Amino acid sequence: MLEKYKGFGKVKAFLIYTLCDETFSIVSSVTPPEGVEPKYFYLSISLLDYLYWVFGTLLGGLLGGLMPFDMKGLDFALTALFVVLFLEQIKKKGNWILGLIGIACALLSRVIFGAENMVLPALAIILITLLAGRKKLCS
Amino acid sequence: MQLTPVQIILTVLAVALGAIATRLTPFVLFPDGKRPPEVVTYLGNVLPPVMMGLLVVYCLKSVPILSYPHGLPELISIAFIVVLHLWRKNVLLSIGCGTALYMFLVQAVFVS
Repeated sequence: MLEKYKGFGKVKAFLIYTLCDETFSIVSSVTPPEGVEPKYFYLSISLLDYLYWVFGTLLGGLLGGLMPFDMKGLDFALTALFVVLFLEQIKKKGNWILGLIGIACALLSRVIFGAENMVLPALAIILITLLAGRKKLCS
Repeated sequence: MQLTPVQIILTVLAVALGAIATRLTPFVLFPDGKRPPEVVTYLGNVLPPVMMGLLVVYCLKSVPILSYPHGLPELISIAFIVVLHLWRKNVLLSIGCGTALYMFLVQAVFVS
């Protein structure tokens, strides 16, 4: 992101402010199409995500109780999003091993530290793995 | 536990400040003119696929494997998403159909 958002001036502040998981996932997965200025490409993604978030939350809060059908399982959409973005990421050359590292480290942390406390240890394990394997992963 | 309005506002503020701080820090430490150390650039390059792996596992962290339905709805739906996505390469289609299949599985097939 440091590299992608370089030199965007005032727009950068907004891009940083709206850099949530989902926006990060998309921005790091896609490249701006030819003929589209990267600045406005990333700004559009961030702004749309932001608005979806705000209005989606508002709608959910106002209408959440009125849903006509059973919503059970709808939250799987987030899992589905990350699965798809994972596929998009490991499609790039040499990236499958990195995806595997992410899954393996996260699973390890989940098994050792449990569902509620897995995130920080997982990040630590990932950091150690990536730094230890830097020479191999760079080539 | 029921929170009072003041507690809710303070919690939201704390979370918002935490989120802004974590997002802002790297950009403040390494402004445009300053080249970040190579190790930071390296991590920036390799982290995205690793993070997606972590996020997928994180989403599934509370799925019961040892008790019924043994994570089967998740496993089936994810397998379906992978096949569908490799075949049609359409992000919205994969997410939409995958979620619909999962909702069907947990509501109609694996009913506990």
